[in-house]
Amino acid sequence: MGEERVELLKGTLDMLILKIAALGPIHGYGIAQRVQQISRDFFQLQQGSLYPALHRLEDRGWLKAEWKMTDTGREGKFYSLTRKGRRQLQNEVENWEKLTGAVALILQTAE
Amino acid sequence: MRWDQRLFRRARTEKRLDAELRSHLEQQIADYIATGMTPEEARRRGRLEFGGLEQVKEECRDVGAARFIEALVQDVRYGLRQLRRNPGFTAVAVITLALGIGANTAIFSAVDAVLLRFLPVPHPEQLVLLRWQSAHEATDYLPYPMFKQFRKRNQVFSGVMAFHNLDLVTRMDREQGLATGQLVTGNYFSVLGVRPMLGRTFSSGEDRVPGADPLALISYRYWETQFGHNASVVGHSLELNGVSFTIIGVMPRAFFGVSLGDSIDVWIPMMMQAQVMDGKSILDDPNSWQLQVMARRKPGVSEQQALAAVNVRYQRYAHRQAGSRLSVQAEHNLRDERIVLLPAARGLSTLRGRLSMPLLVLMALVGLVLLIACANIASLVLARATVRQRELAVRIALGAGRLRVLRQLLTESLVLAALGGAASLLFALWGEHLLLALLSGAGTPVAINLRLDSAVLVFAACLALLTAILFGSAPAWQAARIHPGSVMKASVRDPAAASGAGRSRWEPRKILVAGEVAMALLLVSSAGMLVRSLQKLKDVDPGFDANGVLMVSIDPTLAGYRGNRLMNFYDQVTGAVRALPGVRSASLSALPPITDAQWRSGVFVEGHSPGPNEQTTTDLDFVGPGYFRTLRIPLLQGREFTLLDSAAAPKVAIINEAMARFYFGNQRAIGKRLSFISPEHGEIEIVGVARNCKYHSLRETMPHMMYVPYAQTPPASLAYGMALEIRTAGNSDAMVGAVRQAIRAVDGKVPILGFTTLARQVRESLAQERLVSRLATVFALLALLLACVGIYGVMTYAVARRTGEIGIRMALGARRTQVLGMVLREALGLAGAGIVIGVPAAIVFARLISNQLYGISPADPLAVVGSVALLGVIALIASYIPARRAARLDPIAALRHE
Repeated sequence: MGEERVELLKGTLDMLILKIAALGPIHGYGIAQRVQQISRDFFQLQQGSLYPALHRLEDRGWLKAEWKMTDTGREGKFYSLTRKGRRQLQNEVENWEKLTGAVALILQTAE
Repeated sequence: MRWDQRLFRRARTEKRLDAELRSHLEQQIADYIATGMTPEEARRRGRLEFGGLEQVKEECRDVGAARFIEALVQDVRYGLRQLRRNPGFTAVAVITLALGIGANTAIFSAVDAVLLRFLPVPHPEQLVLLRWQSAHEATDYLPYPMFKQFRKRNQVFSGVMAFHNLDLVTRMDREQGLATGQLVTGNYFSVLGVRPMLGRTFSSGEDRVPGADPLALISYRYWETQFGHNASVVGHSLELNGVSFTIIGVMPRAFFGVSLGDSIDVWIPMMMQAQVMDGKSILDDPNSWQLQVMARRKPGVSEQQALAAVNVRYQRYAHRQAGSRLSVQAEHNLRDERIVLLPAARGLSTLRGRLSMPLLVLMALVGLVLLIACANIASLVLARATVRQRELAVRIALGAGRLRVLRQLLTESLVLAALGGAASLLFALWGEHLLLALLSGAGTPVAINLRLDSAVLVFAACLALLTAILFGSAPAWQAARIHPGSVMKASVRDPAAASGAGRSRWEPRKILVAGEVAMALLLVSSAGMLVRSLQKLKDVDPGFDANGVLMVSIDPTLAGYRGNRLMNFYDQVTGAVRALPGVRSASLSALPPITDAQWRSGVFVEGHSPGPNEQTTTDLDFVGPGYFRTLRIPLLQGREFTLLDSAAAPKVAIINEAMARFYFGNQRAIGKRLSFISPEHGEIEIVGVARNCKYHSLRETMPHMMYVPYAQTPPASLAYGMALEIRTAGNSDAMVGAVRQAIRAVDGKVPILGFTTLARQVRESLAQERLVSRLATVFALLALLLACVGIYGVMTYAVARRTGEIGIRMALGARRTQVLGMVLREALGLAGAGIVIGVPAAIVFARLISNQLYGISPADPLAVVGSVALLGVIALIASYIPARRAARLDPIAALRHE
């Protein structure tokens, strides 16, 4: 697992978090699990980058947080997308698609 | 958000962050257990994967708003550590600042008390004093009938009250004393809005019937000194000027009346006026102008509205007084008469007029001292910053933002200033005591309240902040220009070269020192001029011989003496005192020489027709037989007054030289006649011409002066008592007991208001000049000391930096004296630059304070040249040690040093 780990591109982490949070209120652990599951273990989010990112996004007003009961019956902090966050996600996804499209084009054409 | 709320929120945020991260960890562990791990292994694995809990937290925190405060706390801690590491620097800087800020705070507290502070009453800004004005005259003292006109219900004032100060002879349990009293209208306290501390104030019903309500309120100070805080004082009786009063209340400590500088002991109702003032009522007399009138403007009423309303009333009153048949001229005159409203929020004060200029001068001088102190500390901080450039360069190279480094340096300055500011309060407290003692002098105590109140504390805090900005900005500016690469490459010993600071001939530290010299020069020359003025004043010949004269102030009118009995009493007392062994001569005068009070009157002189704008008034004094002999005022022509110049004898006068010359030129004045403006006094013959002497103060130019025998004056002129002048053979002070006994023997009930000597009286008239020149001298010495330290610091540093160069010069054959001269010349150059700026500044400043000077010009050569020379010498002294060090360098060691 270790050697295959791929570093996330700068800024990509924020987009992934926003995307996951867009599906509904979710806590930090849940986000980490989801990312890992959906990417089929390709991405593993480190707490050391996940939580500062969550706090940063909250600070910018893209995520809002509330305290709710988790499945295990404890209190947890649940993040969900704000309207501002939704717009931000849209922008980032568009940019990402432009970028990957352009990169793919170069890779294909140059072959 | 308040800081405590912020702190509270921070604690909660911290707890939540912890809970969030822990819940993550616990879910992870639960999941691992679910996949079949043992709990121990799951926990171990979970922790391992999670990494440092604290590190994650720290990174999360950085996001929050708390980041700024935390960085600040860090900066302050770092700053304190830096200061601890340099105890010498810290001590010098803190003490310098404490002295500078403390001196400023002390002077400011006096400025605050005298010039700025409001009366301790609600909404003081609504209070106004009524002044009557005509084309030629103005007075703040109005007759009672006029006051009644203003008091009537009106739209602009919520209340109008009046008061009158008077001396009271008190008697309590057979003990006689003196008190300062104030007759007040019944609404005095309610208009001001002050409540008593004990008991009650007067009610409006107690302000109707003359003589009906002998009630008194006393001040906190009087309560303290006379009744020892006795709470049962209410209901106690107190005899005032022979009338028994009942005390109904005590006013709070902060309330001293409405006049700054004199404190009232006893307040009594206006309706008791006739009872305490020899039975003659002034309340119905429209010609008795004796009451001060204050009013409180209704909220929302503008000054114009109030002024208009009050003047409508005044015109109605004045026309009624004048009667129906007004001449055209009188009608015209009346149109010029009006009432003006003076703001009274800060109370009334004669003290303010007298002290404001000296206080402002002192404030300016002490402010300069602080500037010099700041320049010195800035210089020290700059020197340190140069040494610290490597440290700063390393921090910048490691990624610290330039802004962060700047903030760090400014924070250090602020920490330093805060320490200095806190320490300054100790100096300020001590300085205030000193100042109050000096302000009061030995003569009249000044009842002003100096204290470290909020205004003063805010002032000190602002000063500390200002100093931090002043001395902190230079090093911060220098740090902002650091190029880490060149600093690290530069030699360890001379990092200054890297920033370019060392290349210019005028590096910032030298500019600072030149500025210090300029400011010190201004201070020294101002102090010099003030001291020289005082010296000139001391040398002024007052025209009389002040040595060996005892002065006693007595007021038999307070014991009921009037008319002929009064004159007889004065004759008897003078006779009794003259008979004492050790008394050479004795006399009386209504006004002792060199006092604030004055008598003036217009005079018509026989054969003289006054020009259109000529001043026809002259100063007056009413004196006893032998007055000129007692004070040793030489008579140039004619004779002295004698006992023969009695009430029944022809009216006579002695005039001074200035008056004789003005009216008669070189003609003989003896035998000429004159008369007062009020014709009832009749014609007066001039029987003598006396040498000029000073009347009010040593500063005045010689006034026109006329002396009249007291036996020939209307008794009203003597209503405030007289001064007994006694020329003694030996020590005047030793005669006090005998004189007191002699007066008591004539009548024990007559109050003796005070003893002094004429010499002391003259000396005390200069108390204020002495205070200002002394403080200015202290400030000038401080400035010299600071400038000396500044020059020494800069020159030591300059020599250290040029060690290599000096080594080369010496190796090439420069002699030691040449090296010495080179360093001294550089120091003199610095001082010279400061002097070039300082001299014109000093002259301009002296012009601004010229009304404080006496007998010298604002460009007094002695003071200016003297201070230039002094600063030159100081520069030489300060640079001699570094210069000698340079001259003693061993060339070989110096070259190796490179």
